[in-house]
This record gives sequence, C-alpha cells and structure tokens, in this order.
Amino acid sequence: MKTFIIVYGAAVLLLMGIAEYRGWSLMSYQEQKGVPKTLRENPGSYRSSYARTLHK
Amino acid sequence: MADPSLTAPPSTPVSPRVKTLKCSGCGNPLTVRGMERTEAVACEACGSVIDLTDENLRILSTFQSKIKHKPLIPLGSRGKVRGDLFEVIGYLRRAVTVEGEDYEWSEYLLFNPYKGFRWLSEYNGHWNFIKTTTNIPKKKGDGVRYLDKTFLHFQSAESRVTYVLGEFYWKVQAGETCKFTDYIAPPLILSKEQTPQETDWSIGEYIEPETLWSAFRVTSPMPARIGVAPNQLSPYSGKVASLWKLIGYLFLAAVFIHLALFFFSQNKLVFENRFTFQQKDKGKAIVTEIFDIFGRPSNVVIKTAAAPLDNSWLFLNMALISEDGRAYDFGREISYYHGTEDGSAWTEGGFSDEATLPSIPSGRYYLRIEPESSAPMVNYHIRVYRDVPRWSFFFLALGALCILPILLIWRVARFEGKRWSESDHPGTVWMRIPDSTPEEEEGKEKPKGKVSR
Repeated sequence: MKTFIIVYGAAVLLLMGIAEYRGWSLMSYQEQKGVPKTLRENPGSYRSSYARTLHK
Repeated sequence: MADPSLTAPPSTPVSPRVKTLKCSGCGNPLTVRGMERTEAVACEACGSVIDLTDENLRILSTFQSKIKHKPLIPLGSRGKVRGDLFEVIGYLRRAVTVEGEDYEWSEYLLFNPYKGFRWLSEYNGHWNFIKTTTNIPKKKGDGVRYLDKTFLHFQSAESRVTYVLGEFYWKVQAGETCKFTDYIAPPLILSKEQTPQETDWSIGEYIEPETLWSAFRVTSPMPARIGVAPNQLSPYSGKVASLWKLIGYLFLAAVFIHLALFFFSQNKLVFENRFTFQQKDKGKAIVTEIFDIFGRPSNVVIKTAAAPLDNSWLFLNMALISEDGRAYDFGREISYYHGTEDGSAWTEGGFSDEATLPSIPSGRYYLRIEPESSAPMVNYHIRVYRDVPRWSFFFLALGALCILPILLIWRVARFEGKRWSESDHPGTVWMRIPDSTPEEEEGKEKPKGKVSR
C-alpha cells in the first residue's frame, strides 16, 4: 500500500507539475500548419474550422 | 509484539515419557504422554473416553462420530512454540450452532511438563496459541479491560464437544457444552468459558500457520486461510497513521509545486486592443499587429470583454497565428440575456470570456479575428497574456490525491468488515475497529483448568 501511495502520488504530482509548467489546457482548439504569410494582407482567405458553424 | 508469557525463554527439551495401556472398550493400545496430569484419554479406534483416575479404567463416554477427524498436527508431534517445546497430546472438535448452521473448529492440547498445558485452535486455516489465565479482566462497556488494553466483545455462544482424540486433563464428555464469550484486541483474543461448575479465562494470540508447520515439522498441506479471523492482525495495523502522514505530505507537495509554479510564471500582457463590430462588417476578418511571445512553451490566455450586449451575443472566430505559419484556431462566444418570468428577474451569460491555448512555443504571433453578432454594434476588448498560472490542474491533482485516503479507508473498512461479519456485531465496523497494538500479558498460567480454547 505504501509503495502504491508513493508511486501514485508521485505520478499525480509529476503530471500536475508538467501540466502547469507546460501550460496545458482542457480547451478545445484546432492546430493548422502552413498558413501563408499573405494572410495578413488577405485575412478572409483563411478557412477556420470554427467559422460560421454555430451562428450562420 | 508477542505476549511475553507466550514467548518465555526456551526450556530444556524434555525426553518423551509415555505410558501405554489398553482401551477398556476395544483393547486398542493407548499412549499417555501427559503423565499424572492426564485424567482422560480418548481411543481413536472405538471412540471410548477412558477415565485414568479410575483404577479399573472405566469408560466415561463413547463418541459415536461417523466422521473420523484426522488432526492436521498429528498427536505425539513435538515442536517449539514461542520458545517452549510442546507435545501434542490431545485433539478435539467443537461446534456452535448459529441460526441453524453448525460451525466447527479444532483444538489441540499441548503439553510441556515444566510449562503445563497450552492450546492451539484452528478455524478456517487461522490458528491461535492459547493459555489459561488467572487474571480476571474488568468489565468495560460490552467489552473488557485487561492488562491496560481494551478488548472488544466479539461473540457469545454455546459450544459443544463433537469429537475427541488423545488425552485431556479433565474428564471430557461426549456433547459436553460450555458458554463462551470472546473479546478481541488483535492479535490477542480473550475468552471466557462458563460451565455450571466454573468460569475460566484464557488468552490467545494469533499465530501464523507457517510457524506451526515449521515448528512441528508437519508434512501435510497447510489448509488455506478463509476470511479474516476475529483477532487476526490487520495488514494496516500500526501503518494507518504513517500512511495518513504520507498522504498529507503528498498534499503539501502538491501545494508547494503549484505555488512555486504560480509565483514563477510570467503572467505577462503581450497584446491588448479594442475593436468594434458593426453589422456591415459581418463576414469580414481582421488581423492584429504582430506581438512577441517569450519563454518556454506555455499557455497563452486570450481575455475578451464585450459591451453592450443586451439579449444578444458576440461570437469571435479567432486564430492565434505565428509568423512561421502555425495557427491555433478556436471560437468563443460571449452572450448576455435577461428578462422576467413569473414576476422574477433572470439573467444568463456575461460580458467577458477567457480562452487558454496550451503549450504555445515562443515566437512572433498575431490574431485573426472574425466576429459575428446578433447586436447591431458591439465593442470588444481583447487582451493576450503569456504563461498565466492556472488552478485547474492543481484542483485535479488534489482530486486525484483524494483517491488515496478514500482507498485507504475502504481497504481498512473492508478488512474490518470481514472480521466483524461473523461476530455478534456485524455492520458496526466504524464503532469497533479494534486497538491493534498488542501489549504484554502478565497473567500467570493456570496449571489446571477445565475447558480452555
């Protein structure tokens, strides 16, 4: 039981430490790569996965 | 800690002194090892119990048992228990009937010419090493106080002898009964046995079967232990306090780690601007100026406040985009509704929102914002923070650590629940977790008694 408590507790603390240090979040988001630099000149060219899905 | 009287210094090994005689019932040879202390001997062949105090060796009773029980530790076996050499000279079976069901256990009479008699009892693979005591315990509640230790009442019942083999220091009778009451303070058990003639007390200590098998060099297989014995020491005995302490340290460590990360986080405002949405801008996206995000990969928090919102909503389709082409795409809604229903006012929603993007590497970024709203015009204010301390994982960790005390309580309760399930007090485990710190037993041995379990 003692070994289990130590191992389990250490794992929980380690996970919490990593999560807080790395700034993990439970928020849902989409990551995209290869966004062209020209987007700043033409913001409408970006196709967001969230756009107009909720409030069209 | 072992009962000291049960762990006396080793005595000098004695040579077996035996006397042989013939059974008055069937002529079968009988062996008497307990010398002049033996008053009765039971014949294995015919079940007759012979009175050795009678010069004609009269038959006291005859056991008509159809089942011939074989002792797990054979009669005549000699072995050192708690430092003293004993010989197994008698074996009997006792039974109690509870709610129409018979429960049987075995008792072995041990003899040492210098130490006297001891007993080994066995039930469901659990063993006790028992001696009689002349110290009378004091009544305390429904338990007793004995040698500065509280023994909790476990059960009271009437037992009867169902089978005997070998020799005994009293004239054992077929079907002989006695009322007994057991009190426990693991690993000790205190038993009070009452017959119309006398009341005897005995103190027993739980003993591991492996110890006995080794001491008596028993070759037969050890019976499996079933359930929990009344006075079996809990595997958590004496450890619960240290386990609670350990759990406490884990909680403190969680607080320390969280506070350390909390105070060392940047929590830095890296971008701030105000925007206005009008219906004519619907479907149009804007981009902010570029801002720098520094440090190790950590979170980025986008805080948004919007006004006026009056029974309307603002939806911001946002993307945090790095100069090297990575985009973190998300959508947030701020809405505020209010009204009255059945005469009472109500509100729903608010004027602000907070979004947390995880593990964003350092670099140069900008926001792409595509607003939508049901209101004709909304002002909104966006602030972007880097490396903001959050409480969510701290509370999740506390929740995960709370499993440990729950698990500990559950395991202790499960063990104690099994212990008390066969007692007179099932289901009262929380009130009856016994004190499991054995103390020294100073009682003197009673050289001759009657029935001692």
